Amino acid sequence: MAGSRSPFKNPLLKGFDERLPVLRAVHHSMTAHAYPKNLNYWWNFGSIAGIMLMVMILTGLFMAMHYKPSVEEDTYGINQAFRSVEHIMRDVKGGMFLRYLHSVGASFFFIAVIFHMFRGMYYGSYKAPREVLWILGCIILILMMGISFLGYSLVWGVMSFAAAEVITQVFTAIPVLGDGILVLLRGGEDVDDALLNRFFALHFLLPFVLAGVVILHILTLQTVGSNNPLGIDLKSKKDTVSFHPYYTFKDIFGLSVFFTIYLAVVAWAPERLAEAINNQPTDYNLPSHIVPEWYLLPFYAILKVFTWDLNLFGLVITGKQLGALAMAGSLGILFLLPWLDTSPVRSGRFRPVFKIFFWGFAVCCVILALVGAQTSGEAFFIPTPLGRLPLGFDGGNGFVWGSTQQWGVLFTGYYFAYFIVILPVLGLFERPKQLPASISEPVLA
Amino acid sequence: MKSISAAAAVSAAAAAPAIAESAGPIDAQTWSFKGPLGYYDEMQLQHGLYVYQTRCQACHSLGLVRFASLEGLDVSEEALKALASTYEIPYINDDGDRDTRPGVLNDNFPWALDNPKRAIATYGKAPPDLSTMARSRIGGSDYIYALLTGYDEAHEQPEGAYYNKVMNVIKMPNPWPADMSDFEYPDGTRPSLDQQARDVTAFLNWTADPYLEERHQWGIIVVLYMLALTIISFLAYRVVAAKVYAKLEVEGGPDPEH
Repeated sequence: MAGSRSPFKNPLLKGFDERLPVLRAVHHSMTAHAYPKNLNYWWNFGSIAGIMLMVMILTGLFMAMHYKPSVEEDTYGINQAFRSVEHIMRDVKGGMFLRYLHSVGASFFFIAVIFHMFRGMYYGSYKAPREVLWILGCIILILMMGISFLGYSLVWGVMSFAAAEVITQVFTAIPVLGDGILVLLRGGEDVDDALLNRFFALHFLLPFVLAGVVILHILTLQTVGSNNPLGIDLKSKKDTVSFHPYYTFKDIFGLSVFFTIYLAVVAWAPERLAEAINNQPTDYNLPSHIVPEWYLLPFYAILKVFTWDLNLFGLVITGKQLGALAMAGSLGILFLLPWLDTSPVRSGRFRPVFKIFFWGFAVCCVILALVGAQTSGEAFFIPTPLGRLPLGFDGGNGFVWGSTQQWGVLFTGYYFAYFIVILPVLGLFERPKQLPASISEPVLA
Repeated sequence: MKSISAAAAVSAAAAAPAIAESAGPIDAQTWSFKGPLGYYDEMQLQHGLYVYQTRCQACHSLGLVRFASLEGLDVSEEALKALASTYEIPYINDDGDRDTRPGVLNDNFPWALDNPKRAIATYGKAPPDLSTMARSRIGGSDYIYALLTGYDEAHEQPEGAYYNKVMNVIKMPNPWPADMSDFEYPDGTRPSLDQQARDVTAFLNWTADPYLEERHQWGIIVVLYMLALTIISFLAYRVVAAKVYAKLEVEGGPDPEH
């Protein structure tokens, strides 16, 4: 690339580029790579997620200039961390916007990434040669979950303390090493100043690690190329466009729609997606009903669904260990997806049976999120605009048919079955529809 | 000078904070600050501040609210200085002794109970700070209003507990005296209990979200701008797409083998 000629005509650009060839690298990546010409709007979410990362880093940086990671309480019983967040909201110029752009932004970052991943799962974007691309994406998801949990803790409200207490406890499920890891995470035995300080340090650092993984994700994308809605390889120049100008303009349009919704939520419902009780400084008591932020709910459901111990020929795995294993497994299994799906056809468009199970998986994730938000032993319900739709009832004698916990077990089962049973078996038996010869063929025909 | 250590004004019963375990239904109320164009009624906020001073502040603090910020209630700076100076702020004087001084604009509302330990020693549990209360309960202002108007003396409760339709059993005593016929706002109006509850709820919504109006105004401008940008970017995309497709027919795109 450095040996290539500068593509710029403007003498200033050309002169600069000939001395430092970064502009031609950007120009090259925007114009020389072949992108499929048929990407639909589901492909917008990748660049949206990238922009959201920038929004989060920028708003976070300016808030870090005012935030104090200290649990010390003043005479009102309000800790300094909570007070500094309120200081940002009340006293810092534009601080209320910064804070809400950041807290609502976390939710919208997840929305973008969730759509991005489900798109990848529907169109088989994880299949060869894009396994590394998919795995880097999974690493991004796990980093995001960690970072969002850390950020949520920094407020040091009622739910911050509960989250820090409960999530660090999960690691004690690890035999032998668990207690040591707990002390390492907390910086001591208790959830205290040391924990808050290291959470802040990590919450500042990890987004840059995330940005690094995103760069690798994009480099991999440019090497193996984009998948497309038909899931077939690019055959000729008739199938391709360069990223600029076609996809730059399409992405700007997609971004505009997404940001309209995002900014409307910031303006009129900035607390709608958050847990209200976290707006109260913690008094170090665990609330009776602990829930994480919505984007962690499906995994939280899998964590808490195991209430019994498993006895494997004398080796007892406690319910807590089962939950921790299942949660780790529910994320770990995503890494194996490229090899678990045995079908040679990428796009779900040509896989009639896969389609059904895929949408079942999407529903499964929503149900698990609802399970994560509700109390285990009570009758499960679906919240609808018209009220609660009960999916369980009290059977008398203290036994609940269709309790939240039972639905949780059922759909945790489906979650894992989708990867371990359905996808491997489906690839062997499903008769896919006829694939088009090339991308241009169905478009021209 | 108004004494803020008027904790004795409340019955000696233990006052525990209301934790969001709502038992009863919370009805949605009409508020001026709801909706995309929602705004605060400054007169109502001033009335609400007066209700807070009369009925709440003997137990509950507003530890995140500066006197200076009350300019958002459309109160003049002189009046705010006068208001602040009616409060006694604990501090350590030049001789190193604990003392109090009159409040200034930059002070937060002081806490009548002074500190959490005294609050716990007095009531068994510290009455929560009200600065962010309207943001920290599901239902927000509707929750606060329902709680404040939810007392029913007819329900017998054990010593130190009260009946409230929102929580059934609450340790916060009923803030409303039986006879309020003489109660009036500084401007002479005589509010009903319901009106007082509405006014103080509006005030507490303001303490929790003082820049709501700015956010709503910003929202209108930003969303209109974004909608315009959405339309323009869509049209631009269609123009670009047409050109790219036309070029694609003739010479094709980048070589997929690059």
